[in-house]
Amino acid sequence: MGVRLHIVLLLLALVTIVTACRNDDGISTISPGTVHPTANNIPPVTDLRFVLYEEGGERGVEQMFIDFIELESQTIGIREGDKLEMFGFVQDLVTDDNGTLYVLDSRYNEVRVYNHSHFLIGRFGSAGVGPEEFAYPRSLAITEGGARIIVLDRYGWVKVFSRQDSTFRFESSFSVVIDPWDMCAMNGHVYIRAYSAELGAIIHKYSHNGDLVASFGQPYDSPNPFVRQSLSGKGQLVCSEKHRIVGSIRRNVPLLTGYSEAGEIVWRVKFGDFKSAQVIEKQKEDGRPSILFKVPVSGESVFSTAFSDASGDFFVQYVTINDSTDEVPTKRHLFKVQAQTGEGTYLGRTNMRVYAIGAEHVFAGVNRPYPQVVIHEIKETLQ
Amino acid sequence: MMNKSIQTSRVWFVICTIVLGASFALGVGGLLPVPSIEIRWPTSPTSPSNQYVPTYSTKVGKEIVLIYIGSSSCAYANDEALPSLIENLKLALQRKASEKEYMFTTIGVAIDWFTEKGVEHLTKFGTFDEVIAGRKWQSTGARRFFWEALPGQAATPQVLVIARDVQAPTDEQPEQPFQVANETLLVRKLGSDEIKDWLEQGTPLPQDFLETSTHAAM
Repeated sequence: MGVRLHIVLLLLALVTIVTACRNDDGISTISPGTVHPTANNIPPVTDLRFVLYEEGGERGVEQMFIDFIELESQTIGIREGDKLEMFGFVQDLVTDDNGTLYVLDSRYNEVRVYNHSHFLIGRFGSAGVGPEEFAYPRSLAITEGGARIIVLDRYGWVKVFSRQDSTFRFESSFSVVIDPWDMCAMNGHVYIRAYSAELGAIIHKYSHNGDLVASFGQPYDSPNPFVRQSLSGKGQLVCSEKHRIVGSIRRNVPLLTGYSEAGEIVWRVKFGDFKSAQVIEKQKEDGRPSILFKVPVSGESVFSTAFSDASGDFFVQYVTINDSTDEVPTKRHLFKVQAQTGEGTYLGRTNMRVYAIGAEHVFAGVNRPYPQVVIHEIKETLQ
Repeated sequence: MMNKSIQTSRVWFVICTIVLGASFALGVGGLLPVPSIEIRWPTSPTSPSNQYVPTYSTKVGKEIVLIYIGSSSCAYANDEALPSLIENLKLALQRKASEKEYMFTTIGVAIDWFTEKGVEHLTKFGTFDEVIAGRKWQSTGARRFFWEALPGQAATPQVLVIARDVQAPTDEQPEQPFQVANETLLVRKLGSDEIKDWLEQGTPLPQDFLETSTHAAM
């Protein structure tokens, strides 16, 4: 009896040791072959007012919002000339209420500023790793009507500049959560889209001095921490300074979610025709998890840009891959969403990447065959 | 008297002929060393060629540098079409530099852990004036062209073109140190598509940075 008891106790101890030593490195929670986004990560939108389709609008199916190629457009940036006449790469651009255009060039590591007549009036930034320099600038935002210009640089460095006429002065820089994907700014704060496992959130609100004020937004739901890390942060942010709403888009998920400044979900819009490119959960030979972002195929879509205009409304553009037999390889669809209510409309297609819409102009950016900003004058009121 | 003079000339003629004939026979037979002489027309660096060849010279003055950054483990950097694109870039930029009387040089950087793998990758892209391989993202090349001196997006394949001033001691300025100064990024292109577009557009470069400057050969 004593020996049997000892054997049982020994077996119990072995079981305890084995289970206690299991390392929660995510290996045990991998589900190879799982296609993301999973259904539980696409909250349903049942109110049809908030489901937007590509068809619709008074002009019917396949309506063209702006044909930048066929219609007369002005351009900034030439194929070859002096350096200030050329762009290295149009990474981002925004416009303010006065028609001033700010273009972020991620290869020449600077911001160029153009007046409402599209003449260069100033520039700031240079290549480097110092506070006023840019290593690899990714995103640009303006706030307070253009009085402050904010640049998201590599390693989560946010750099704040102020403007007085044609003079731009460095104000401050601070570091945010690692691996930020996008940024927007409004009402004295900078909002960063990045996944923080520690904070359990994907949107982080900072003051211009770098103080973290709040974090909100649900991370991607997955039992595997690697999958959660890989799919939570990727996406876009857009701010409506007028309506105090932050719009968030998660990559590969057909939703635009509007949050209040305090982080409460105010509305949610679904893009009914958006079919996500597949993301496959995989397992390496050594057991470690991996994620494969498949190249989108015919019929699948990828979000392109998200921005707001002077009235504080949101615009979202995504690209749908066409059938290989089509003359045009992709279709770019543009939607307008009222930031205050979440109600939206399909504006139509464009043939360029639209970054901003001003009072009188629509601004697109292209980098092929060479970098340019293309500006089209609006001749009719947007829906 | 005249007959004696003519006879002497005939003797010398015969002797010379015998000596030349014997020398030729001995040379052909390998019994005498024969110098090899090659006649070649002089070529300039811009002469038509389908392969880039460094000038292997050191001068001072303005220089255009093409940097290719790739990796043996990057699928996009191992695209079959990429080596010919890079070779054509070298030749196109060499011609442009020559037109401006600038020096031209090329640097190959392989983002690989193992130097052998990196060198093997770079070998596919023809001849470079210098190469950097090994130590992955912490290599001298990665530091210089991604993280520090000329920061930018860390991705492969990538090409950069920079302009710089090469300085060295000369007879007039013996105290001048060896150094490069005023390094300026002219172009950075990422991915085969951008590189191809840029080549098809004629490798445009900012013209104000390509103003002619005088330089002296060492």
